Amino acid sequence: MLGRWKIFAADLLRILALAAIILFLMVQFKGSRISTAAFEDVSGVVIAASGLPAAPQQAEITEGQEQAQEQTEAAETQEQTPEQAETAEVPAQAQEQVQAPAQPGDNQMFKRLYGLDPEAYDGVLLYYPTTNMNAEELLLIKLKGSSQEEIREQQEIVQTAMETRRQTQMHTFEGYAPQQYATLEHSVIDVQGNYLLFVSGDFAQQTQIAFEKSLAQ
Amino acid sequence: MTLSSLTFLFLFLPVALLLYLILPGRAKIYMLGIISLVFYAWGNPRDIVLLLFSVVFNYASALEMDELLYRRHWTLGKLSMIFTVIVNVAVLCVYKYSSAALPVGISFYTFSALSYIFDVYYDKAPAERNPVYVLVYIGLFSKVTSGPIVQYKDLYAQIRDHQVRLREDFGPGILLFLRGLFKKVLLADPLGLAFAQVTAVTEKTAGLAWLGVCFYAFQLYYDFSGYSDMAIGISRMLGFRFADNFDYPYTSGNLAEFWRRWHISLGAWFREYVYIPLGGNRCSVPRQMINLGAVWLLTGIWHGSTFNFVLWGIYHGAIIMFERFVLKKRLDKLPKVLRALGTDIIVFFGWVLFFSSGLGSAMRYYGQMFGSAGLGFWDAQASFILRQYFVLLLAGTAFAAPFLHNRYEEIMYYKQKGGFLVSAFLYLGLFALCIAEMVSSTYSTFLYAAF
Repeated sequence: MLGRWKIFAADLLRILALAAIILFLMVQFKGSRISTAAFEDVSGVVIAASGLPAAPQQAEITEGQEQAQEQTEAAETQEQTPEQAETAEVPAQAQEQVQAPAQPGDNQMFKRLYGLDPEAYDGVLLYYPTTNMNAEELLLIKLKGSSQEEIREQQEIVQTAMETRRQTQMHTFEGYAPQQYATLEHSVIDVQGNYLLFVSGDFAQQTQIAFEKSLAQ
Repeated sequence: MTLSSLTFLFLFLPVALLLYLILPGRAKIYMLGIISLVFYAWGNPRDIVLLLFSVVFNYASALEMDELLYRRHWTLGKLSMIFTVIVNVAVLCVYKYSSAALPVGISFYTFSALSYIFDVYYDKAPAERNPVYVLVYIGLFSKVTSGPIVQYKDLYAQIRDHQVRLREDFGPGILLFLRGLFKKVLLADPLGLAFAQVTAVTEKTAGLAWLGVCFYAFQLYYDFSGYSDMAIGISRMLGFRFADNFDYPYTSGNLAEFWRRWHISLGAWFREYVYIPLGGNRCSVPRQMINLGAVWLLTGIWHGSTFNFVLWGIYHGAIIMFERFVLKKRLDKLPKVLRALGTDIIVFFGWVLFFSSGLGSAMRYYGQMFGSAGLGFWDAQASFILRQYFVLLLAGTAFAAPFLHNRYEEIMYYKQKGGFLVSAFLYLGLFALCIAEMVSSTYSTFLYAAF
């Protein structure tokens, strides 16, 4: 009789252990699926969710250079006629841009802030703080590479760079800008297979939710 | 945390040894359980879940299986064993074949756990009622990260009836540990730099490509055998006696012998739990070939998930079959030096698959070994690298054979009066050199920790 109880107890322990490990694996592997979603789609969703101004310059990093050139040309012509701009109605988007806590960054800014080579990725979207007193930031990266091992390696590199950047910023604000420090403390680094997101700001959570949703589709 | 890090050497190990030594009797084993968990959790606390799962699951499974077999429910017992093995292997495969980082030591401690299950099933050892003993067997901190994969039947008595023989074990344990440290810090790591310098050259002459393979072959040997010596040495300080994991493999006369001397615990594991249950060599030749093929395929897969390793396993398996069924004893009359040289060429050739990131880069490297770069056999660059690392290469070659060590022991401990004092100073000196090297050089991990 005792033996039967022993078998029962051992089985119970096994089932509990199995349940625990399955749960653990599910949590661990939630973020390892390689998504086929286009970078433009994901970045669009992320920008919309964050409430940051949609940036035409973002395309500069992901798309060909032609488009980027066109845009800079357009920007130049705008600059050439300042009176025109002053007198004309300021478009809603531009108004947002002035108030926005973070602005779109280019390849060079990405290199400077994260020390990574933008060419090594399928897509990079960067928003960096408008002023030194802002802690709002957003970085979305789509990794290149097809094999799991390549992805794993790159994940580590990018994640480390994101964490380093967060630490640097926290270090900057520590002690004298408690609000910015808190913002960074609540910032999110989310690794989902070949997509990585770093977002700091009030909009961090909503952005993360939208980001994960866009990949799940 | 690796065994050759300063934190381990100057913080973790002394504290662990102190705690272990001051506690009385059975409390030592419980303390080892706690220390092992702390050690494992140090680097990556999340992965401890996997180690604990392995311990709890296999502990319960062995008890259940044991009870079923005791009650003569043979089929149920067998089913229970198969289920346990499948779960263990599945967890291992999930990590080997996915994008998640491989938890430290999972290949090694999963094989330890499987040894426990098989030994209980085949009645070679009893099921353990104390879960802490299972934890110490599977996760003992000295061996959890990269083995040796000691079989349960060889270790359970040492855990249950744990003896501390300070006089017999502590001294030799320290010396073995130090020898391992020398191998790792003074030979393997510099050889790694040499190898990196060769791989940095994109267009290699054939000679340089071969030189690179030699650097890597010696690096891998000193890295892993150094680690093994350290692990076995620490275990010995703690009162556990493990068999050697390396026995001068590069002096082997044929490939089968090489594998009896290289990573001995892994070879023994496959022989005990795969080759012999399949019928071993007590069956027809075709069946033997199938058995050998299975073992070598699994050995390849165990080392890595990429096709390189599968091919590397097949390569070794095929040559061992050729040796056994075609060559037989025909080459035995040749001088040992020649046979060892031949074996080394075969083994070194195989390492290219081992260090290349993919099949393409392996093939490119093989091409360069046969002059595909079109630069001839030797050039100034090869001379430069050889001159730079000549002493290191010489030392690597010299220490790969037992001659120097045997002569040293003979002189220091038998012929020379007071030789042990000289020896003690020599060890201290080398230890100081290691520390200097460790402080100045960048952190480097063990190659085999990746498997």
